Amino acid sequence: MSSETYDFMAFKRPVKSLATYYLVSSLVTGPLFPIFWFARMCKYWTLEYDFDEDGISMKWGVLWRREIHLTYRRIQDIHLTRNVIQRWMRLADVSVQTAGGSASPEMVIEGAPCPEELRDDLYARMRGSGLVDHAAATSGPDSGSASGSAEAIELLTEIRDLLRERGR
Amino acid sequence: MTAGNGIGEGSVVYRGIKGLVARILRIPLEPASIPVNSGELLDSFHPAPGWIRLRRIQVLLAAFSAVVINIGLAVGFSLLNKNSDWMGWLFLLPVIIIPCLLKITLLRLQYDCTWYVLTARSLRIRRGLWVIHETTITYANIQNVTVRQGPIERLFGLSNIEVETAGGGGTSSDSSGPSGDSSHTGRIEGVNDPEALRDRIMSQVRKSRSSGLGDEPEQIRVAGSVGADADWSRLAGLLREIRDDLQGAGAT
Repeated sequence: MSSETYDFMAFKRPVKSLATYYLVSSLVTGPLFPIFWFARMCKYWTLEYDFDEDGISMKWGVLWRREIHLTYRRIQDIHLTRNVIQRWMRLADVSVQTAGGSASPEMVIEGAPCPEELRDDLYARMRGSGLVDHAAATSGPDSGSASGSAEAIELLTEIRDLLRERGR
Repeated sequence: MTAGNGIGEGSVVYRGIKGLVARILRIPLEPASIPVNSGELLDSFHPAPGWIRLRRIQVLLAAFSAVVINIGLAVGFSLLNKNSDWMGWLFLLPVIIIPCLLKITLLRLQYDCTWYVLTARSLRIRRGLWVIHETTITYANIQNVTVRQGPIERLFGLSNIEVETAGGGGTSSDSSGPSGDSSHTGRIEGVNDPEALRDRIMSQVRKSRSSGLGDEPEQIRVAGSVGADADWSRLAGLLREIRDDLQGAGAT
């Protein structure tokens, strides 16, 4: 699967083409271009991601700093958005939403090296995806239940047999 | 896996144009898919074929009403002010008509690039040409399923299914969200048999016993659910046998 070729946990800094994309997308604003470009470059320079076993955190900002933390388990839905320019540059926005009340996504991951694979890796860690590595990553506290039900079956079988013996 | 239920590949000319446009605009033509465990069902399909005609009529109706409003405004101004150059107001007509024609010619391509993927655990929706948007939602997180149908859609026998996850927040004006929709919504448009699809989604949603807010260590049971279900049915079978035995003993 994708995680064998590419480890998204190692993804810390956005790819360089994100800077180019910021330049191009700022040009669209026309005369305001320098302001937008500078603001976006400030984000590009300081943008840092941190993926660990439980969740994601990202932070950026020079004067106004911002950090977002969330866990994979609380992801509600994942969006992958690519406009034409982003597709030309092999970029994509991976938007991750939790159950927070805002309409805009809680976290937008820009400049991932393999956005589609990142999206699928996040999906695998989401609740209810049922993929193998997800279950392996979080098994533990509840693992006694399987043996418990097996024991219950055994006990009930014994009771049934005892009742039948008595009935005869 | 089934790919496509639609209206065939189209003519050679169309396929050539589609290939060229897709290469220039980097549009992925292969069906969308979701990683699944081996052996699990993966079903990806387009909207129903009638969806293109429906969208055409909707676009034409919108353009028509815009043209009528525009002409009405122009005539209104000319009545208010006899000297004004009211013909000048009609410059808006091409602004309405040209995008409308472009939209209509692109609808077929848009149809080919709209994919709905359903698996046993999740669904994915891909739509769009300029901005390609892919939404992934697991059934475990779905809060409600809405089936919508308008009057024109009823003529075509089509419905829209909306799937919502927790967290509201009105419509998203953000470019990264689907336009005109809350970004917590997945919309499956142009469905022939909404009941079947709705039942298919809801039966999966009912299986999930948590509230869909990441609050229960459920994934272990999900991972081993086949074995656990078998165990429970064996338990129930044993209990039933014991009850029957006791009833039999009581009767004699």
